[in-house]
Amino acid sequence: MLKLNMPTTALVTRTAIVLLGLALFFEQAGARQLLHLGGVNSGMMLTPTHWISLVAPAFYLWAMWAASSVFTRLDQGDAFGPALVKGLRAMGGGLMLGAWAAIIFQPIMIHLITNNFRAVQGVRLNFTIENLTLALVGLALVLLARHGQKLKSKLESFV
Amino acid sequence: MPVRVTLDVMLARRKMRARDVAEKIGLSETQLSLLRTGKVRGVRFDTMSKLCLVLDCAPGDILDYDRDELDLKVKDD
Repeated sequence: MLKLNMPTTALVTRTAIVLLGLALFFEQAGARQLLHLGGVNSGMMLTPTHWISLVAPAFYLWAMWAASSVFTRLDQGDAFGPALVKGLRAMGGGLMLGAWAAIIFQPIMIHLITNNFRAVQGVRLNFTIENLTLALVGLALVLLARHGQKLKSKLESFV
Repeated sequence: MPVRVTLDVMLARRKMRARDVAEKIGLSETQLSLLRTGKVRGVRFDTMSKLCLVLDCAPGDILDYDRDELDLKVKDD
């Protein structure tokens, strides 16, 4: 029988990442077919707006992958070692980047692209509660990892 | 810092080598060397207990304090 060297939480998280990634892909593909947006390239989905709309979810999936690594480390009894700190930082970084991409990058870029980069007045930002919460949680994780690392090095200076 | 580690004195009195003490109490030689030279921020109670047991002494035989009124003004970082 195949034995995976991974805790259940990490396994479930990684399975969820794969399923969510596939769901995202098929959702986008389905929407494009439904709206007949593709034309010749419909099978390839090469429009820039399509790729830009995937930026935030890609960062979120990266954060989830980092979370699964953190779960694995915790299961192995890694008590706030460098690998765990790195995992927490990656998690926080992924959430922050994803949230800021959803708030700033995606709305502005999609707006510019749909208007063929002609002079467009106003700034498009997507300040939703969800995006801001994710950005703050990401920031908290990064800061906690940093603080934890400091505390760990202080503890290690005790014999 | 006015707290001084006088472990070397105790080791000399007991005629013990640092390497042997380190092995008995489960510290690395490097860690014990850092402790002997006062380059650590603190000593855990369990490490102190082991040291006292192996060297047959009390914590006051390993640590000493030079009185300094400025110690009250030192901020904990």
